[in-house]
Amino acid sequence: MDISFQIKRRTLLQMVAGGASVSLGVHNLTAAVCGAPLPLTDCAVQDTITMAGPPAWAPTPGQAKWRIDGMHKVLGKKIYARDFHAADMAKEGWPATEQFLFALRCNRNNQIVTGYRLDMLPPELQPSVVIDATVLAAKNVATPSHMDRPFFASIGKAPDYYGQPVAMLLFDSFNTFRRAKQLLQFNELAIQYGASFTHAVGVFNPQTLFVRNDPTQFSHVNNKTDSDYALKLEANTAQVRQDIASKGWRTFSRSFYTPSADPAFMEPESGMGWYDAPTQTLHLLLGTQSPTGDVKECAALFAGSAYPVSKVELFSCYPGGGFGGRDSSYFTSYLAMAAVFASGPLRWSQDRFEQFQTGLKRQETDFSETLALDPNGKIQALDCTFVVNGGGQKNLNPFVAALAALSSASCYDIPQAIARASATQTPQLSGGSQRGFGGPQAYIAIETLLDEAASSLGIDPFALRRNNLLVQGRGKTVTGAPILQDLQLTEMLRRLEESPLWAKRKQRKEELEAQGTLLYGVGFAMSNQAYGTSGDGMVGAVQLMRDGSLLAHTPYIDMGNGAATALGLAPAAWLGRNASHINMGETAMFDALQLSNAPLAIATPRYVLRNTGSSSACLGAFHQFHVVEGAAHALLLQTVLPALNLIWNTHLPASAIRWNNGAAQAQGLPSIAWARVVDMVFAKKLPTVAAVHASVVGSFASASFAFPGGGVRLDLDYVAVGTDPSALTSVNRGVVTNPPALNSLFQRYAYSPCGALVALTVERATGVVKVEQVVSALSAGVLHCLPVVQGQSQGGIAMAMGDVLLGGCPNDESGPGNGSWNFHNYAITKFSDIAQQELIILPAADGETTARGIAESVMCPIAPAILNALAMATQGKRFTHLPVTPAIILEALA
Amino acid sequence: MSTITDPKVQFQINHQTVQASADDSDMRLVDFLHERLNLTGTKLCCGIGICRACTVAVQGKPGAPLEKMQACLTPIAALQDMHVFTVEGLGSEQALAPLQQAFLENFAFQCGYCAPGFLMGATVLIDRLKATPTSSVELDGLMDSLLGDNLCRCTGYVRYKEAIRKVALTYTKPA
Repeated sequence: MDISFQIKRRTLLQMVAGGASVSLGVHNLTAAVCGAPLPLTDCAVQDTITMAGPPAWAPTPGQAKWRIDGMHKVLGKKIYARDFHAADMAKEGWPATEQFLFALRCNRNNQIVTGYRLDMLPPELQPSVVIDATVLAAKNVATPSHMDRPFFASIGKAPDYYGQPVAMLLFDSFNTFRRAKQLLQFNELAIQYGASFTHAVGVFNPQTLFVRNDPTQFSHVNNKTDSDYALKLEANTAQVRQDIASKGWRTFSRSFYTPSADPAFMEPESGMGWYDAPTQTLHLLLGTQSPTGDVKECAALFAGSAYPVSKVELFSCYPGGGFGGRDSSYFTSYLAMAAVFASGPLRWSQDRFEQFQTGLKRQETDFSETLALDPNGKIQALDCTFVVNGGGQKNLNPFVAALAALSSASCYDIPQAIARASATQTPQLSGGSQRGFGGPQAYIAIETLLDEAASSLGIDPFALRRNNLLVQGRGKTVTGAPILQDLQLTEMLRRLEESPLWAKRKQRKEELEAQGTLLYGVGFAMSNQAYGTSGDGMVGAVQLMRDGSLLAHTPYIDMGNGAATALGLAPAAWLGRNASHINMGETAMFDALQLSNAPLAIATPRYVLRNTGSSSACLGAFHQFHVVEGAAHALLLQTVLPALNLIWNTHLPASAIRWNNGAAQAQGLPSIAWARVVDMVFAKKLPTVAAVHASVVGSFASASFAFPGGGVRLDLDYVAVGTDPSALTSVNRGVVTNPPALNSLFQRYAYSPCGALVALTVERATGVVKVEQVVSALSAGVLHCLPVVQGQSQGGIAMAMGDVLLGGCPNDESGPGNGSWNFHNYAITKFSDIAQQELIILPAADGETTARGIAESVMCPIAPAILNALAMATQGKRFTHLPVTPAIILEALA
Repeated sequence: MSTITDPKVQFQINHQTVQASADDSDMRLVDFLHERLNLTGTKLCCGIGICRACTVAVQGKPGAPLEKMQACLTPIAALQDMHVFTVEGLGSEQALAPLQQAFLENFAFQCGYCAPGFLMGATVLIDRLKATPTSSVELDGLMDSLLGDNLCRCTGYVRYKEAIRKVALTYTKPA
């Protein structure tokens, strides 16, 4: 099976400094991996058409037999950026001769750099090009807008953060590179340091403070637009604190610490860049979660520099894991910057030491929380503060902190709450978006405090939670936002409480501990992780190919989370078959729609409420599925239904159509095979592509669209159709009903609660913890693909186990910043550590027709459940600093 | 395979004879596979022999038992006359190896980067079972000993275990 990149036409133009424009293109290997052929723009009926059967990966509508991308992965094909050489890009016009890059990185942040030297390299191993701060300045290459610090540490200054390069070295062959690297990496002579230096600690904006104070009806939602909001915020903060101190409630307060954590995705970041000076084109090959954002940043680097760039072409590969660590990663900008200095294609494959030193991390977080409960076990107030260490660059750090604050009340309706969060700027490990995005820290705080409160108040932990649940229609979050979904919390509690793991925990504890060597505990915790942001836009398309197969298009990136597989199933509900192929990371066709959410565009047919964002794992099942499914619906209404009516000579509505075994059926009419429908579509030159946009802010924007059979109201705000994916025509829409403007103040509008029981043993003699069993209950909405959801849960459990019991990156010179960290320092959960697991997926709520984003949710209750289990095992010892190592446990038991 | 004029190390990869120059004799096998043979199915992850993503299978001679080898730790010089097997040699789209089929049908992997290492480690497991069938109740222990150190960050291993067990069980003795 040959794999080549899905080449697109030129796509969007990016304006850069000086008013010049750079054209950007994103070409997808992921699309090829998922079998996406080049779109057929010639719709003429060919003489001989071999109709495609159902796709091998998913022959049954709505069901996957295996992952749509599975075949390439199981055969070890070239699909990751690390697999590619310049010679593999010959079809794209790349020269075959490569150069290789090694970054000479600072392993300290508290001393002035006085110089660097390469004289330990013999002449034959010297780099052909050296790039450093001086060279960069001479060539007038800019620092990208998303970087708060310069590319290079400068001589005479202290490094801005661990791992900041002092130089990047280009070598002319792999042999030279590898031998030079052997001499340079870990060589303390390579960079010289002088006087000590102390960086000031800054704070990134925005900082977050949400206060909900029901006695005064104050909240973010109610009062954010008030002119005296800041004053009211201060007064209500003071009142909540005073009430906590004066009302006689029982308070439970703890300080917590979670260390910096590496996403530890398996493929260290890698890529290639080639600057083709005659055509002023910068070619990049990468595995990234944010291809469009990355390519835009690269375009802006070279305005006014010695390296004019008028085109950036990004070849987007399959990411070898992500978990957020490849979202807005600086690797892309560094590669782009270095590539222009190379004489041909430049290959850069970081090793694991470099990845640990510089890869984006889950932020080290210091947090404290006070919960106040009345004698009946009603939570009356919450006061919490989260401070995440963002490292040297802003990235998404303040927004991660904000979500910790937003998640602080978990599943509970708390009438008075203060949730404060900020991200500090330090010269330490760089933080970014990581699975859970602040949620994991929030749930550790409240769920362990609740467990402690239940124990202290003599209330059953389930009863305590049941007494405080958020409920659709009457509960509110810390922003004062209403709950718009059935969170299914009562049912979740019931299912977990009835689990034998919980019901028999005391008996099991007695039995095991009587043997003398083990302690035993079962912990319970909940989470209420949001999916999506404060408001989201999304696009998707479905294309009918001449052979009858369906091709789905999405800008979304599959990081291994199974999104491509789920989205490939999306057309089945309306068209009776799954997509044979999916084109991930598509931008060109959607950019060509020229949709805008700018105020000036409001009166135009291309105005939509929300723009699209980058790919996080939790956005696939609900958001992206909605638009691919919606595109299939639009294709049915615009094309397939008219074709059927032509064949039947009827005027049936879509609701009369049923699909059975690939054929269309309607009462009293003969079945029509799919092939005949397809032939009619192409014979009549009907549109073969439908692309749609949706906006959701608590509810979907909706409009009536003028299809051939009449107007149909859809939860979409734009539909276009045509025969050429790059030249689609808008379907006339009526007045768009947008969600209430107030919804934009909610901050989050959709949740996928998850609860978990964790049973574990502790060896009395060694403090070693063994997680024995996990039972999770998940509100997942409508299921698209059970094995994918199960896989997310299993992976989330393993990741959380590691975070609590194993992992952690010190943020000082003993940690990964020193460049010597690898998996010998940083342990992650292993094959032999895995517990017996049961995932209870609750049936979709009444009337619920969509899936919920669950990739983050499934890991969120695990950490607090482990901590609560440890408390039970150790007679109430509360572990609040992660990781909880055997030594820490032994010390607590002593 | 191209022949290098001054061969110093000769070995087999997926039944093809390979010759490495003296210059490459200290090169890691994983780099040799990628840089000299364009066989990139074997993955580099940690580079220090911990994660097992780069696992290949080797034989001292045809018919000998398969052994696991970490391609990130093994210099080419250590491979003289050895037979090396990588994921590219396991099967094809038209004829997947049973382990590959089981991995696919069990949704065993997610991002897939560690899948070749699991496949090759499990291939050694199956080879052992074929040579010396063990009791099905001892299978989990054998799997732990041969695959327990293979790291994966996405899957939580559950589906890997199920897929491997499914194939391996056919080579075990009843308990």
